[in-house]
Order: sequence, then C-alpha cells, then structure tokens
Amino acid sequence: MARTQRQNNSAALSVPQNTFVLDNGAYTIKAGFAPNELLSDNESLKSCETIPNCLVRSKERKTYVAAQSNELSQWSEAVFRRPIENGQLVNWEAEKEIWDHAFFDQSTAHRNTFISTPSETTLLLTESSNVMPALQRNTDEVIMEEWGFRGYMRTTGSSLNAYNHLRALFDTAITPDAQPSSTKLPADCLLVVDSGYSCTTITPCFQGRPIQRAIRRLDFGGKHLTNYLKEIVSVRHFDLHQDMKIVNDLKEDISFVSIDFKRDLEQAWKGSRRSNKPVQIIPDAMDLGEDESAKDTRIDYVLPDGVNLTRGYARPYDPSREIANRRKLAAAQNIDEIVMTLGNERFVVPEIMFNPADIGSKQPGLADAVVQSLSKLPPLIQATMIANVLVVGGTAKIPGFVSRLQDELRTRIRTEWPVQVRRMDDPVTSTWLGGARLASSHQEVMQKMVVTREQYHEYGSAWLARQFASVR
Amino acid sequence: MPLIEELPVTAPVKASAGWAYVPDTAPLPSQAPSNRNDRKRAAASTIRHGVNTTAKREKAIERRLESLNKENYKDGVHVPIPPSNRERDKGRKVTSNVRRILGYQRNFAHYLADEEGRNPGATHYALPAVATGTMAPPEKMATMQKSTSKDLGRRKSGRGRDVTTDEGSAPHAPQPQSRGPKRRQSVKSRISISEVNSSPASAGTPVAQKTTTPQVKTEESQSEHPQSQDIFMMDAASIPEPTTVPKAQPDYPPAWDDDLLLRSSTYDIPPMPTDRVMQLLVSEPPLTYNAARATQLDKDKRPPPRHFCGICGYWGRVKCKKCGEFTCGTMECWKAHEDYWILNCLMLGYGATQMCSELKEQAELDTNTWRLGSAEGLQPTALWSSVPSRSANSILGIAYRIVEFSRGKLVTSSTASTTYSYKNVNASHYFRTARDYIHYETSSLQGGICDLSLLADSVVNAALGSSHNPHKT
Repeated sequence: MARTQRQNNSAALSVPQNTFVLDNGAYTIKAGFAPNELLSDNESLKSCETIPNCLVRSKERKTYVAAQSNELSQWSEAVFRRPIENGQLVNWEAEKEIWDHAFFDQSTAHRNTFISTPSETTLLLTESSNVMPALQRNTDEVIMEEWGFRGYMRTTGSSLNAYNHLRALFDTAITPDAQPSSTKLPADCLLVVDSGYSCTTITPCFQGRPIQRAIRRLDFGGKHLTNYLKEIVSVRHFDLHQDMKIVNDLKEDISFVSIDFKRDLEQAWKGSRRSNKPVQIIPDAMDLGEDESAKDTRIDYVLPDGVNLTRGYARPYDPSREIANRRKLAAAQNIDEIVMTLGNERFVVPEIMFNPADIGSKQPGLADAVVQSLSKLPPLIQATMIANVLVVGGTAKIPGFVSRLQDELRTRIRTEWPVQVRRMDDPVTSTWLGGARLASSHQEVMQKMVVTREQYHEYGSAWLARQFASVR
Repeated sequence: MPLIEELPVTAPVKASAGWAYVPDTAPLPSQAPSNRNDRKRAAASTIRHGVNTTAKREKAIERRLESLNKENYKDGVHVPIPPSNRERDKGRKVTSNVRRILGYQRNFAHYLADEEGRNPGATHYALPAVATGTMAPPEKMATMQKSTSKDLGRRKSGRGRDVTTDEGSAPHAPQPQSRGPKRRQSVKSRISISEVNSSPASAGTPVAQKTTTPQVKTEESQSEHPQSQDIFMMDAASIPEPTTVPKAQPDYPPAWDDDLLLRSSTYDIPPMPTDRVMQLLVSEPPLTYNAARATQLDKDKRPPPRHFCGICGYWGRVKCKKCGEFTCGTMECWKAHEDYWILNCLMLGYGATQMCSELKEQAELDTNTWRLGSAEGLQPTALWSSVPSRSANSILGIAYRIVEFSRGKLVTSSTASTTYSYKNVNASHYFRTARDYIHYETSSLQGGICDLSLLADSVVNAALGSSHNPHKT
C-alpha cells in the first residue's frame, strides 16, 4: 500500500522544475530552483541567489532581515544574530523569519527564490555533518509542518559536491566541456574540504555518500579568521573590535595564504624599512631564479566611515603618503580618510588554518586533519581520495589556499600517490550547484531519498530521520 | 639577551620650551658599585619572576580562543525579530509543535550539553528506531555493531519525545523488544541494498565476522585475491567493478589497463575493497559532534610552536621575563611592551612610587647592558637630576615621569609617533601609542595618579577583554 503510494509520489515528483535547492550556510544561504535540464555551470548559477543568513541590528537600533542588510550603509557597531551556530541550525525563530522574508514573501523575495506554492515544490536542504539528532528533528518538523512542501530531502552539503562536473578540474587531459553530458555519475571518490564560516569539515565521499567514520572537523573557519584579524588590527592600527562586517570585508580584500611563510614574514618586516638595508632574501633552492627584488606585501587600506565611503578598499602601498599623513596629523587633527598600512597581517591571519599552534590552539592544521581523516579509510580509497580533493566554501576563496594545501599534503603523503587539490570557480556556490545537478539529472537518487508530506504525516519524524540517515 | 646598542640619532631635534636634549654620559648602574648588601639583593631577586606561570598562560590562551569564537563584540545582546509583515502569516496556522520549537530559547551549548548528558562517551549517533507497524517502505538497515541492547534501552528512554511528536505512529512500548532480535537477525541475513547487486561469493564466509571491529574489514580486503585489472583510480569515473549503477564507458579500450608497462615493480597497488565493505562504510551512522573533531597530533609529530611579536607581528625573539609575552626585540616594540607592562602594574594597584622603587632595584639587578636610544632618535632630558638621564626612556624613566607629573612638575614631551583614532579619541588604544596617550591625556588632566590608573584601567580592559579583573594578579 505504501509502496504504490510511493510510486505515485515518485511519478508526480519526476517533474524536476519544482525542486528548490537550499544550501543553508552559517554565513549565507545559497538558494534557487534547480533548472529543468542539465545546463552548463554558468547557466545554472544564474538561478542561484546568495542571501546573508542573519539578522542585523544597526547602531540606530533598526533590525534588518537577511537580504535587507544590503541597504545598511553604516556597519559600525552592528550586532548580528545568526540562527546557525557552529554549523548547526539552532535557532528556528530567527531562521523562520529569514526564510519567510527571503522565500515566501512576494514583496521581499527575489524573483529566483520566491516559492509561490510550497505544496508543489520539493525542497532539497543541506545541513552540516555530525548534526545533533535533536536539531535534525526540529528541522524536519518545522519544515514539514510549517510550509507544507510536497517533497523534502535533507542531506549533508559536502556530499552534494560529488554531483558536480569535476572531471575537467581533476583530469587535465580533458578539456572542459561546454555541454556536460548527462550520463556522468556522481564522482566515485571525492574528498571534500568544506571551509566555511564556522568550521572546516573534511568529508570523504564515496559514490556521493559520505563515509561517516572519516569525517573530521576543524573548529576554524572564516569567523575565527575575522576575529583574529580584528584583534591584530585593533592592537596595531585602529580599534575595530566593534566593526565585525568591516573587518570581514577587510579580510576578504587583503588576505592571502603564503606559500613560504618564513620568507614572506622576512619581507614584511618593518625593521628593514627603517634601517634602509635591503631585505635579506635567502636564495631558496627552489627559487628558479625569479625576480629577487623585495616583493612588497604591504598594502594601504582605506576604511569606510559610513558617510562618504560605505565599503573599504585596498590600494598599493604608498610610502610617501604615510609621511605626508603623519605631518598633517601632527599639525591638525583633521583626517579626511582613514588609511592604514597592512603588511604581515595579510598572511599571518590565514596561516592559523594551517598552523593553529601559532595562536596556541591544540588542534592540528588543515593538512594534518586531512591525513587523520584519510587514516580511517582503506588504503586504495585513501589513494583515490587524495587525488580528488575539492575545496569548497567561502574561505577557499583566499588566494593561495588551494596551492598551499596541495603543497602541505604533498609533503605528508607518500610519493607514489598523486595529490590534487582543486576548487570550483566559485567555491561558495559549489554545493548548491551540485544539488541543482542532482535534482535535474539524477532522478533515481532523488526518488529514493525524497520524503513526501503524506509519508511524514503517516510515519512521523523518527522514520524521517532514519530515512535520511540511512539513505544518503 | 642580545646586546642592544644605541642607534645613531637621525631625526631632527625639535626645540621646545622647558626642556632640551642633552647627550647621555653618566656611567651605567651595573658598572657603578652597588651599596646593597647580599641579603637585600637576594630578597629583591624574588620579586615578580615568572609572573605568568604555565597555568596562567593556558588560561590566557583559552580565553583568547573563546574570544575568537565570538559572534558579536558584546555578549548577551538580543536582536529581536522585527514585528512586521503580519499579512503573510495571516492565512497560515502554526501548529503547536512548530510553536514549541520556535519558542526554544536554547543555543548551541544547551543542545550539546543535553546530548552529552544523555549519552556520555558515545561516539556515534544511533539511528532512531521506528514503529514496526507502519514499516512497509523497504528499510535500508544499517548493520551496526554498536546496536546492542544497551543502545536500544537508551534509545527507548529518549524516544518518549518521539512519541509525542509523531503524528501517526503506533505506540512504541512493545516494539523495542521485538526489534532487538529482529535487528540482530537482519545483521546476519544481510538485507541486500538495491543499489548494489548482491555481493560476490565471498559473502558467505565473513558475514559472521561483519559484526566485529572494523579492523576485520581491512584484513578482509587484504585477504581478497588481488584483482586482475589495474584498478588504481586516477580518474574518478573508471572503477572497473560490476555495479548496477550505469557508468560511463572509459575513454580507452579496457585492455590497456592490463598493459605490462603499467605494472609497478616497486609499489604494489593496494587491493580494491569489496562492494560490501564500501557499502558498510557509507551506511554507518554519523559520529557525534565531539567525536568528529580532529584530534591533537602525537607529541613527537607536533611542529615546534612559533611565537610572534605581540606588537608588530615579526618573529618573537625576546620573551619578557615578567609577563611571558614575546617581542621581536626592536626598541620600538620593547618600549611599547614596557608601557603596557607599566599600565598593568598600575592596574594591579601598585602605587607609582612603590613601583618605582621596585623597578629601580630590578634595574640595578639587571645585568643586561641596555643602552637606550630610540628609533625616533629622541633623547631624554636631564630635567630630573636624580634620574640617570639615560634611563628616562626605560621603565624607570616612564615611571618617574608619571610620578613627577603627579607632583605637577612634568611638562609633556611630544614624540614622533602620532595617535591615530578611528572614531574618537578614547581609551581604546593600545600598546605602542599608550605612552603617547598618557601624555596626551595627562596634559589636559588636572589630576594625578588616580586618573592615570583609570585610564590604564580602560586601556588594559580593552586590550585584555572585559573579563579581565583588575584585582586579580
């Protein structure tokens, strides 16, 4: 009886344009309808909207919900409320408000994300790994009872990446297709390093399903990098500890991961500037005779003041400007723009992802955590996984992140095994893209995993949790 | 401690009223004969060495890591939901269940504590059991060795909540007993998963072993005869194993995989784990939140800790004896650190005169050959004849200046480093400009030490975080 009902549902579900893919992240929500047929990545991404997943209260005590925060110009002393803490959805009161605003309210929702009839839409929701069952239950219940989606599927975000078009990334012999063929499977072995806002999770996925025993998590993410940068800048330049968003922008604009930390730190030393000595560059054996003039990593950053300038920007370092500024400031206190010169902060901050001992943390670095995760897998799977490492998430956008991770992994893995670490063009929407591809072209997997409203009302949330846990 | 020498004065000397730069020619205190006897010296040597013990350092690091995890700069700030847009909620009824969930005022720490209280020491999240009466849809049961009766018992107690929330499920009470043996049975009978076809012939023998530890799996995979084909996967889509999942044909004739040249003489490719092993791996239940965290490396594998200067960020070469913070060793950074330390002393309630006397003793005991100059080329004044002018820029000198100011004698001197202020000039600046702050602020203040300590209070509070208690040592 139930089986025929299921088949009926699956027949009804085979219309894919009503699958709404919702990548619920701690920093932003990536959401949109999955396209009907398999399009190229750029085309598919046009349906994806990125919405900040927070409520912001500005200094003037006005509250902005989700996408309304783009209207906020004065970010100083803004307070955030995020429903997702440490990667897990805790606060449904806030999340419901954000979702209502972004998806269900015609006046405020974007064209791409407005769901007019949830009763005819299937929801594909992502969550983080190792979510506590109580929270999963809350999520299931609120979604099924509040909005009444026709179908619902909850899965870990990392495993969705297996459905992406990855062959061009990892196999350099293949030129990237303009039109990916639809018979491509989920990638059989993929190690997803999801480096997001709250934490970094390493998930080995086999045939699109995560291998649970090998999932490892590092409690460092974009939030920690931003807070660290905030501390440093507040000590050395300006007091920014109330300006989280401004420091976030600053981090995104100026930071990079250095390949050779020691050399970059030497070059960024202020002492060399003072004593007019040329910076001692110890010629590296691997240097290949490149340009040996001191690569100045210093950069000037202009901070926003909410009135004339709403967002800070970076510009190349100008030594003459600094001296002129000093003289002007010594004379009178009229400051027209607030500039600071940043040198080693640019690469010291992301360094804590690879070396948390720099700030005293006991956690291992990212490369060591990957090795820990691999050690739980059978040897051949280890070899395959390490040749297919995909980095997703906002922190993956930092220049040099991927190559640094590849270098570090290379030193830790035996030489017979190739190491390849790649990222998609836009790491933030990569998971959403995987979900969209799953919805458009892999109907059989969807049918196995999607739960309908009738099934929920009949079997209950415990059955639902079981469904999602055992069939991924 | 490396020898620190005076740098040549390069900046132009500015003349101001009240004081002038005088070259420093007095003898060093360490060279001058000291009149203190050995008893006093021994007593003095126990002053404040190793203020920062390891436990303190640990706590400081913990506190710092906590502060890295903060979302907002103020704790306990509540952002209320804006009470707008009631129209869209008009047509919708909120069920009691949803209303209950929406009303939860718990945060992550509550849930984590709950879960740890319920299952202390658990490493996996066991799958929730379901009523058997309505179990018509094919169940894909995970064969877990952890699903012992103990788990079932625990789950039963936790399922009380399930009962209230399930809308259509049968009563659970009689089920757990029947599910126990059924579950164990299913382990033995190994319900086939529709995705993968039935395992090869070797399924029969190791089934009984399946319920034991995971080490068995690796043994099993190693005991499998090595596949004839070269199965080392570089390309994700070319697993040559029989599955019912339709896969793309490899781009080259499969016979090429057997080519002799591809066989490695030095390295044997590990065997491919069987389907069953892989299916087991992917159908395990998830780890708990705490179990999934990456663990600290073994002691011998850890890289040596790197320290950086707290002021400028370069390598931390010099460790302050008193507070354990690292500095890079340049005069600028060291002086800034000293300023911070003085403020810290003020914070701790030391009177300036008492501090000065202690510092004086410390300075005399110090065997470092410190010759002080500054990167900016300023030279202290000989205004205070009782103070060796060389040390006016040192701890001692600053302390004296504070004392002298409180007695109304000090006239401020400007330094080349300016004070930047982002929003307004308040006491939320730190370290390097701290000394300038004292000068800036005190030049307009009428008061003495008490105002300075308030200033120091706010500066150090802002530096260390609001949890810093000035009355603790």
